[in-house]
Amino acid sequence: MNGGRIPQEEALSEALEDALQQLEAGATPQESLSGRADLAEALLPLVEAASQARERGERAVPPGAQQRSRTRMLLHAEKLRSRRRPSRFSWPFFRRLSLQGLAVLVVLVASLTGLAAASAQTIPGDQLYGLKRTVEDVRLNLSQPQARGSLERAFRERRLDEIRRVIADGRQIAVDFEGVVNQTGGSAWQIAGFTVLLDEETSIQGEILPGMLVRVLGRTTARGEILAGSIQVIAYAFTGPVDSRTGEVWVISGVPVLVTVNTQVAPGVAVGVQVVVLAQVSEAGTISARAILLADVLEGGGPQQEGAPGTGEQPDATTSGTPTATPTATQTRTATPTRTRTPSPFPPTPDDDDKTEKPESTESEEPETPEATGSEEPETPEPTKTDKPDDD
Amino acid sequence: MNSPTVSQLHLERLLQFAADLRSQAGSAARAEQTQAADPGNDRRDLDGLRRLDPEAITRIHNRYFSMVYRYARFRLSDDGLAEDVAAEAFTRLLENTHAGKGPRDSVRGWLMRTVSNLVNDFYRLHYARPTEFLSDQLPAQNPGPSALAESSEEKNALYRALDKLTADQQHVLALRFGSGFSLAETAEALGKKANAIKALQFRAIAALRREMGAAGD
Repeated sequence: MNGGRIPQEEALSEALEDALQQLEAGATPQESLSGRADLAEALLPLVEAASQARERGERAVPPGAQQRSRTRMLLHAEKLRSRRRPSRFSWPFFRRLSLQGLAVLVVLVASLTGLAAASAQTIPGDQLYGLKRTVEDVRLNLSQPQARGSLERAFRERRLDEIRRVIADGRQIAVDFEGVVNQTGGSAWQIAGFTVLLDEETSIQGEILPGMLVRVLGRTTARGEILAGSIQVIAYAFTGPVDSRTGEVWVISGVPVLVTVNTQVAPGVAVGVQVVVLAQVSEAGTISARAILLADVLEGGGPQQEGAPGTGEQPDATTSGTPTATPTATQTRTATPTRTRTPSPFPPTPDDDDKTEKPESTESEEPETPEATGSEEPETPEPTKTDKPDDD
Repeated sequence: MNSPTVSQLHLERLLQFAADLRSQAGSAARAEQTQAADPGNDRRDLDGLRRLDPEAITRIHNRYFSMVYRYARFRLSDDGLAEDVAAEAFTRLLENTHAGKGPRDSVRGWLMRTVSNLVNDFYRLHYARPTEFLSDQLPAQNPGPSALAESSEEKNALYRALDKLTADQQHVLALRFGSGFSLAETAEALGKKANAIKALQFRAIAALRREMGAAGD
């Protein structure tokens, strides 16, 4: 087989391609060469090797792989969509790096050198802090959809812990965190338990009310406060009846809400029905709904929460400015348990391409989601169990 | 504020809920739109991808996942690893397209190049470091090279032979036998003439055969 002169190789590669096509059509290696008796001796070993390689390639895609990958892609789109433009207080370098998808490699290298473990205890301003954030991003990217929510919660809580430590250390440094607004008004707000100062340079997008989940980019001050560079609404929820719906604009509890093809609308939602809206506020101030769910379904999920004292829910008294966006909406709890529990609030979605993995997810997971997460959330939404790799 | 507020819990639950709903809806109802690769569809969907439209994302993903996964699986010895690499290729497609980069014309060609680079990167890293440094610090869900080394498949003669080929040779074999590309499709993906592919695959298969023979002896 090492007698391959150039013209000979050309003839062989030509004949080999013919044989491959025959293999594809179902021929055995011998049969595939029947037309080229002259070259059969030289080519048969190759065709046999090719036949083995073909078999290797015919392995089926494992069930669930496609759905997991697609979910990852969709979640990534969600992340890109909600990504804010960089500001003077951002972490530009490490953010971009992780998002480039060098992800897996970075973690491998970090693990090899022990840096990942060493970075786990760092706080903003430490040298390895960027690596810690990168490792987190990677873990989020690699996590299964079911685990993602709790990881995100854990990481969000971790940000807050870091800032507490930064403040305790008296460091003055850029911070970036997400938290729920406890109190607005004046130039000192309460967000996630921190005192957040606003000055004339603070940029605020959308109208911010207590109860909203916001992202704060800012800087710690010498006195343990946080001077905000910007405050952006990430999302908030409110409850109320659907007043009307005209095309893409629905009025829910008196608030005009944009409902697009991307909005998840639970079956059963209609005018007059009490719903929970998970809303997003665009930079222009438009409120668009990410999901509209039946209020009583959610209520069924976590009764203990509805009864808990509402630390963050002092109503209108604390709101600042003119509450054009959501007058009473943010504060109203899911108030009308007309139905205690619907057995299957979301009918199995028609599904054709993932027969193997869908049944269990539509039937069992979905209706239980609020319960499952609800039951472990009440006091500490920090599932440290999922955090071991970095925390040790 | 150490304990989360009620509204925070409420939000967390809703966010999770919406994410679940979204992933369900992604797979729902749109399966029938899994069309074959077609530049017209691609162009339309690339536009959707740029806008992060979930429907376009779903269509592109459904259209190409199988060929990308099979490519990765052909060259890597582990299901989980192949899945990660394939998913990463799609995430990059999204990133790049959204950033105004990414494929101009052929989504398929772009994806195949990307997945091939990811596999090459993986091997570069795999061989750059001795395996004993790879410890259990690796995230559990990421089957690293040490897991790979123990995989029974690595004892397989075909796999070991494949491992010895050049990246180009592996690439052409993975396209043809993994992704199931025809000669013409392979030529298009590589931007070469059909004759060049014939020669390349001939040498690749000859090398494969040689390595398998060498291992058997």
